[in-house]
Amino acid sequence: MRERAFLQLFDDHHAALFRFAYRLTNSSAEAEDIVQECFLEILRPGNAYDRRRTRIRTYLYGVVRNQWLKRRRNSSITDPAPDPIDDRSPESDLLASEAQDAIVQAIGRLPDPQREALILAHYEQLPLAEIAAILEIEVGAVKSRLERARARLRESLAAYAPPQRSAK
Amino acid sequence: MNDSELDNVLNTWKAPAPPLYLRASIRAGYATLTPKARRRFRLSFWAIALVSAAFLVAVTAAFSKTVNLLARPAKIPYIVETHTNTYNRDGSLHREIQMSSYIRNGREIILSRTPGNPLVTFAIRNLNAALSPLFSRVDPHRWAEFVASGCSNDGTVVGHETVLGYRTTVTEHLSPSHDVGDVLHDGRIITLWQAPDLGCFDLKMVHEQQNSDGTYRLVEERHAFKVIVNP
Repeated sequence: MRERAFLQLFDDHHAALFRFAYRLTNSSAEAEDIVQECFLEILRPGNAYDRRRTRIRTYLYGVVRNQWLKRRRNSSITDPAPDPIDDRSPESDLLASEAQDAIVQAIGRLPDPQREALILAHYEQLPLAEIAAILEIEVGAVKSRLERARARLRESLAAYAPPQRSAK
Repeated sequence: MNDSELDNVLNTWKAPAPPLYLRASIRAGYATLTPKARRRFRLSFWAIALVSAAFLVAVTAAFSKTVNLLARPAKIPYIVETHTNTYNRDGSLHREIQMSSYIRNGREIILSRTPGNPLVTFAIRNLNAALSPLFSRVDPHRWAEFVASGCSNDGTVVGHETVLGYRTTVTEHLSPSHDVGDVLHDGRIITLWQAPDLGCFDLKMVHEQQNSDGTYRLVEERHAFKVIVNP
């Protein structure tokens, strides 16, 4: 692959892949490594990408996911400490950080299959068919994972629901 | 909490933007990966070549004689073409064989054989040439001594004759009948006309086997009909 085409590919997809990797790992450093590894994977001779069968975006998400799973298998640490939140104003700081920690923890407590399905569906807004292709499962299985994930999150994040407005 | 409320809560988790240096880092990876792979291949190639060369040197040093014999293209000093007849017990002809061969370190190296499958002959010729130094039971030093003695220090010298212009020493090798377990082996006499100038190649050979009445019958005879020096 020529350098220009390679960099174009990077420009088109790296932000989304970084977000996905970051939410899977909850670590910027890990996400960087994974994204880097993902793009270098394309350059390796004999990589499994077949443009006739898979969209490049789907393939790249799949590589990120595999890298994440590989790292999880190789590491005894399940989840690294979350990155510090450093770009918030002092006024909003406490509540926002508290809510975000709760979300990170709640998503982090989801089983891996539910977690990756939720991130791809909710945060990356990918269609179910594409999620199914990335996770190599049926669309029905994606739906069921999403339902279970959301059910769990409803319970664990109930305290952070916006207060009900009383009828005037 | 309904779906919409859950979505709003989840949306508060913002992912940071990827660092700007990631692009430069990937670009550097691109610049280095392909040449790196090539370099790695080249390094592997040279490493394997180096290890192989070291191994060959070590083997050569350890088994210098054997390796020299194998590695050096065998210079054929001469080729003798021979005709061999084998006979049945009743004296009728059993088989005729024509061969081209020479002697190296006391071992006859067959170059061609007729009749015979050319492929088998080729295989025999090459295997024989390559492996005989390894598996030959003939001690090259003893053979050299034998050649130096004029082919006369083995068997009973019964005379000297000239065959195809080469002086030969005629020796008889007598093996009386003997029992090996329950099997009685007939006695035999092998007479050889060996030429010292051809590394004691037997330019003529007669093999006789003892009958039960004590007489001898011809089993095999061979004679050379052509000698080619420095082929």
